[in-house]
Amino acid sequence: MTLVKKKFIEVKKEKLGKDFKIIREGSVEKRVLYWSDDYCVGCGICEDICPVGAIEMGPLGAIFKGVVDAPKLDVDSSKCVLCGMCAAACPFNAMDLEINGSSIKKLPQFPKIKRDITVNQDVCVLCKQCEVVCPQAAIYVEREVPERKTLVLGEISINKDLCVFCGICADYCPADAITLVPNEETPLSLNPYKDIVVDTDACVYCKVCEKACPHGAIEVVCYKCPLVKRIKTPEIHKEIKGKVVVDKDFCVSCSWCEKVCPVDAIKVEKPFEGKLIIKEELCSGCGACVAICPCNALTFPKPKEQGEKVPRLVVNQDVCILCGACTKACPAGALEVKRTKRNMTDTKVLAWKKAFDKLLN
Amino acid sequence: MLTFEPMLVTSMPEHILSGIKAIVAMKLRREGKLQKEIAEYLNTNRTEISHYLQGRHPSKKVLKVSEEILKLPPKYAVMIINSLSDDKEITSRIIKVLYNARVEVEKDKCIFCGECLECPYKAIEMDSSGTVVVNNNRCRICGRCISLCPTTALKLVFLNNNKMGE
Repeated sequence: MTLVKKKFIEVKKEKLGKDFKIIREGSVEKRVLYWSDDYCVGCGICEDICPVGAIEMGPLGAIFKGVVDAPKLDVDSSKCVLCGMCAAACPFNAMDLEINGSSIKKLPQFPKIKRDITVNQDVCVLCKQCEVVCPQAAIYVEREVPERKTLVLGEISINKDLCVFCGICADYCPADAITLVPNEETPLSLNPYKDIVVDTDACVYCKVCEKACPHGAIEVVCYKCPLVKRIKTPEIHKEIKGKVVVDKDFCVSCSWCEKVCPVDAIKVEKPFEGKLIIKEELCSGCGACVAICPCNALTFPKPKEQGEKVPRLVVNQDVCILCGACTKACPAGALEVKRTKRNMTDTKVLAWKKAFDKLLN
Repeated sequence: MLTFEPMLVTSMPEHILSGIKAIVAMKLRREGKLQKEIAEYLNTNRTEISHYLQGRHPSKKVLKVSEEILKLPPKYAVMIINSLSDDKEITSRIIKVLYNARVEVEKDKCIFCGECLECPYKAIEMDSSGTVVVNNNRCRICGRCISLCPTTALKLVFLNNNKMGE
């Protein structure tokens, strides 16, 4: 027998595409639970922590492999009590609960999962390695370098009386700085080209064109060449300006960027400590975990030589954040997260503390 | 196959309520209350109370059922009493005489979901320190908040357990 609980106020669920919000507006307080599919990585922490079992994850493996187009989770609004535990525990900004307009993530009495990324702009060398490795494209480098023409100085001139517009110089030019300007195709202009121009912003005065020209029409002087004249050009390492921009909404604090940074300019605070365990004997190699992992921490290794024995599936524990998305997606239960420590703001509310303790094993 | 006469079925809760009222009236009389006071408390007239006290109404059968209900563990008896009438004022008065019960919050279990705060009698509120408290003057012990609480932090507490209790 199921007992039908008649709530004091009925809750409303509003859908907008895949996203939804659940609203409970009473005389005492107004609560709104928001969920956004774009930010959800499918980790299922909300499902684990929900005290009333109102959250159900979608077919995650199929969604992340692109087989099915469905929301990553759904909240049963008849069961939901809008306590906001899911929102406070969500490490990825996919969920939020507003109580009378203020976010539960900002209310001090409730705990939340802490994670952070800080970039020391002073030591950063703007190498862009972090930008390349970031699995969520959440970090990028805004870099300004001095113009090429300020680094190499020189002069180039083409004697148009000698030039036959053969284009050999343009073929050789490593900087693609020489262009032949085509003539309009009319019987009044018989020659196919009317001019030859040099882009001095691109030219590095390497003299290749001068050597290549069969008619001696090109003359190049490089001021940087030691035989001519020493000219001061900007010191490039001092002239590079820019900054690293982190989109914290999409950052999952996997610490790829921290690991590749050559000058240790990035510090990442991870949400959990522990280990991801792979039970290789259960793995069928379906690839759901690899597809869902927000950190690109899982991979199927390929043998380097034929016959070499490699494990079926490997995880890089350094970049794994123990979110548990892979365990939710795996149809065979071949993955298990063992969280030993959680990074959480302190709370005096015992019931919340206990609920967050459930995330550890 | 069992068949019920519709009339009987619809009036049954009222009969049982009368039976329980009669038991309450007898209890109050034993405590030294006057018939007039009892009538006022149960929101009825003195004739009715006099019938209750002299055993003329309700019937013995109804009284027997009512007594059986009050032998149940208070938690369940209260649920039945609450279901007998929509007049929550009268059911709460009956419960208060029989059980001296009140709703209490187990603070360590409360997750502040706010479900109970919309109590129709405004008996549950959040105090200045952010804890949920029950205002016993307003509470009608209707029990809805208890069934709504997702973590069983709200409980019906019986202060002096008389023989009808557990």
